Amino acid sequence: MHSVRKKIHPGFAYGGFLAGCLCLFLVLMTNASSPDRLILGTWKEVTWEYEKVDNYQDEVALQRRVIDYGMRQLIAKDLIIHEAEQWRFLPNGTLQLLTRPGSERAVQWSLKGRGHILTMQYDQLLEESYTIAKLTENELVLYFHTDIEVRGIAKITFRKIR
Amino acid sequence: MLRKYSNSRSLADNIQLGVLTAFSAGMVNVATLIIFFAFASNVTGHYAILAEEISKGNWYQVAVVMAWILLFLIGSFVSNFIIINLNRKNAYVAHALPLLLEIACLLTVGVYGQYYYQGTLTETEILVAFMLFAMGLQNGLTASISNFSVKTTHLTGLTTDLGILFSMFTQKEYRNNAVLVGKAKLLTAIAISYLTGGVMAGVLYKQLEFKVFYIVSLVIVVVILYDYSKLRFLKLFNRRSRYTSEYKRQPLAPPENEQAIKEVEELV
Repeated sequence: MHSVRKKIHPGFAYGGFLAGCLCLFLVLMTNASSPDRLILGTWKEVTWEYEKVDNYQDEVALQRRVIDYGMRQLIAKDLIIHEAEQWRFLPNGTLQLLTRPGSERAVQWSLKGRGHILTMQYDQLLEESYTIAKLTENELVLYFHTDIEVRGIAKITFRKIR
Repeated sequence: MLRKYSNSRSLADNIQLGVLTAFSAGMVNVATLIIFFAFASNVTGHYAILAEEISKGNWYQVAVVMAWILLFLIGSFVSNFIIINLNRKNAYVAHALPLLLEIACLLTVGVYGQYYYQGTLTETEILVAFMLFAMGLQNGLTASISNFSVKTTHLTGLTTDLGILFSMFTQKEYRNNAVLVGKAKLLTAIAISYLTGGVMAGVLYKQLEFKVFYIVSLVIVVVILYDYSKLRFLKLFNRRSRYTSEYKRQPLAPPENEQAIKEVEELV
């Protein structure tokens, strides 16, 4: 019995592969929201926790432990985000950090990598970067390294309020 | 470095090519990581990230990482496509053309970054895509012309090969094997060069920022010009040696008298 095989010109195979990849790319891009659009709006800090700690006697107890307000102030003392409770991301690249007493600090924000790094710049001098662990319509989770109380990764969770 | 193809290459050719291209690859990778927080050549890492993003259902990131991987693939494809189609006509041009394309990508990123970059995510993703395409071109070229001996951005494979070679060198018969020793030299040279390039980029970036890509372009220009100058020298040398041999071959006297001259020489 003869098996009939149609020979396909390699050009069609290559073209088809590329067209398929392009279609998949376009479908994914048009149906998913880009991180720089998702992040726009006002976010309120909900919790500060330790995600991972290093070289600590009671590591298990500390992991996932909520960082209290006093410790939080200490950890963020030298950071741009010091005392900020609400973060307002504007489309022009400005991030307004609103603090409890009602003051406001404007910094420049941008996303890097595949949208997984949030960088902030203040006065062209200070630059900080935070890893975006989760970004949805309503929730934003940031990680950053700390070594104030213990050396490890702190996690800030936000909820979108506007 | 670029002229010879596949099996006609010597170890020295491969080391020269490997060292210079690995140096530029190290520079590109570290500069891209510092500026854009993304790797330009760590395709294994990109596959891992792709899998992670798929598992999380982050479809935007899936599309971006998939496009980066695809561009690396296309870069390698274009490089080898140029080589296999132009190699018979002009090997030097066939091998230099992918590097010229790479320089074009690097300069595009350098110039755009220096004058127009606003720091938006879309810009970042596109510029990283350029870098991945450039690294695909370079890796495709070096792997193709060295018969897969030189892969300047594939440090996972390189470290694996080095581990295997070093374990083989625990036995005398392998230590005395010139081919294996040569391979170990080549791989070590590539690894050191890649690392040096990375450190250089990290140090230079503080002063130069996006201009660091001009330095990388310069390194690749050296690769191209080195061979070009050598080619010119070889042409000149060949012409001279041909002239000398033709001069030597010229009869000292008319043919009918040559026999008489020989006889006189023998008598003397």
